[in-house]
Order: sequence, then C-alpha cells, then structure tokens
Amino acid sequence: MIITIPLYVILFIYLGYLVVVGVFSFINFTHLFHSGSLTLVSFFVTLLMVALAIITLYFTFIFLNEVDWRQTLTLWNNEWISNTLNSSNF
Amino acid sequence: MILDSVIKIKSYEKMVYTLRRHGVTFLPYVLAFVAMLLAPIAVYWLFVSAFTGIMQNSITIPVIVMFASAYYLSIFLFFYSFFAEFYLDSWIITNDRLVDVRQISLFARTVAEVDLYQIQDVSSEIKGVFPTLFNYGNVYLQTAGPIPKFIISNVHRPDKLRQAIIELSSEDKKFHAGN
Repeated sequence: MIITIPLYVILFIYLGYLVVVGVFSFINFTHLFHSGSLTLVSFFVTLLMVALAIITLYFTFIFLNEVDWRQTLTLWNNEWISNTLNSSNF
Repeated sequence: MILDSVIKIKSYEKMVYTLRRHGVTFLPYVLAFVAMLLAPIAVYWLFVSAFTGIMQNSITIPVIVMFASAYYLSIFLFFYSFFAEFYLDSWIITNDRLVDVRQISLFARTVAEVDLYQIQDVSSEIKGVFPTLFNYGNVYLQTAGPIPKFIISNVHRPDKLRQAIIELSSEDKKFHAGN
C-alpha cells in the first residue's frame, strides 16, 4: 500500500498556518496598542518581529519559487517495512 | 496613551508612575529566543552530513523549507507573545489610586486597584544576585481595602518607589480627612 499526496497540500497547510500566525500577531499588537503600552520599546520590538517575519517569508518565497507543486509526496509505503525486515542487518 | 480600555482616569486624577518589571527579568526569554534561532543551523549541518540524498531530493527540499519557515515564524510569534505579556504587566500609580494590570496570557487579563488612602503598610525587598546588581525587587503593600495585599514585583529601584508610595498615600489621606 502506498499513500501519496500532492505537494500543494503541504503548501495549503503552510498558508493556513501563516494566517494563524498573522491573526495571533495582530492580537498581540492590538493588546499593546489598546492598553497604551505602545511605547518606543514595544514599537521597536514589533518592528523587529515584523522585519524578521518579512525576511523569513522572502527567503521562503525565493526557495520555493521554482518548485513543481504537482509532484507527489509519499507519506507511507509498505515497501519501507518489508525492505527493512528483509535487509541483511536482521 | 489609549488607556480607556483598561482604566478610566478621573477628572482630578493625574498619572504619577507607570511601572513595569525590570528589563533584566526578560533576559532569559531573549536568550532562549536566540538559542532557538540558532538551533536549526546546527540541525541543518547534522542533517546534511547524515542524509545527503534527502537534501538533493526535489520533493523533500520544499517540505523542509516550509517546515523551517513555519518554525521561525512560530518562534517569532512566541517571542512577541511573551514580550506582550511581559510588557502589559504594569502598575499605574496616580495621585488617587494604584492600578495593577496583569496580563496572564494572550486572552486573560486581571485589573485590580486600591485607593492610596487605604494603604496601611509599604515594604520593599531586593533579594538575590541579579536584583542586587541591577537594583530591582518587590514592593509589598498592605491595604485596608478588599484586596489586603498588593505586590509590585521586579520593579526598578523598589526603595525609592516605596518612599514615593508612602508620600502619595499620606497626601491622599490628608485629602480624604479634609473631605
């Protein structure tokens, strides 16, 4: 038995996770803003976090730019077990 | 400052202090953040030397890149959340009252306040190597109000703050005695 999924499924999961990270970051920012805690220190920490996130997303985009998302990713293959059991080490 | 969501400043009230925990107490989070930033680099070198074939596979590379990207975004989010919790924990002292704003987690906050004239006893404490070196510690307030004990924890110059609270409290007591 072989279980495979197209690579774009992983991309959709990743994009969904980006939305979650974005929402939680926004909640943190609104907490800081509405409680009057958006001072110079908290502003620079926010700026640093935004800059780091942008750099991460930029390099992710660079690395994933040329990927063929229709390729299939094998999640499970029975041969992995049978090959292991039939190997000379056992 | 947009403080209306936390406290309503009265017409005769003026803010005297806005206190937060000393920045040194956030240092362990910064060190953990830096360690977590650097950890994937070490893991990457181990991975490359152990599984050379996997790193040349056209399918596993995008999966690893997305996983690494999600990991970094997660630690940025966790660090920002810890910072927000640290920074939103504050004590606001006005000429009338002391407000303790405590951010317990992202979706939990408690706000407690005591009128300065209700303060009965104030004591300060600096305990430990780092608190002594960086001059921060706790200020304990004994009150006659519904919340008998207030702790202002890990604030800079607790001795000076204790004196300031005693002065503000005695002024407020005079004001309330006059009315």
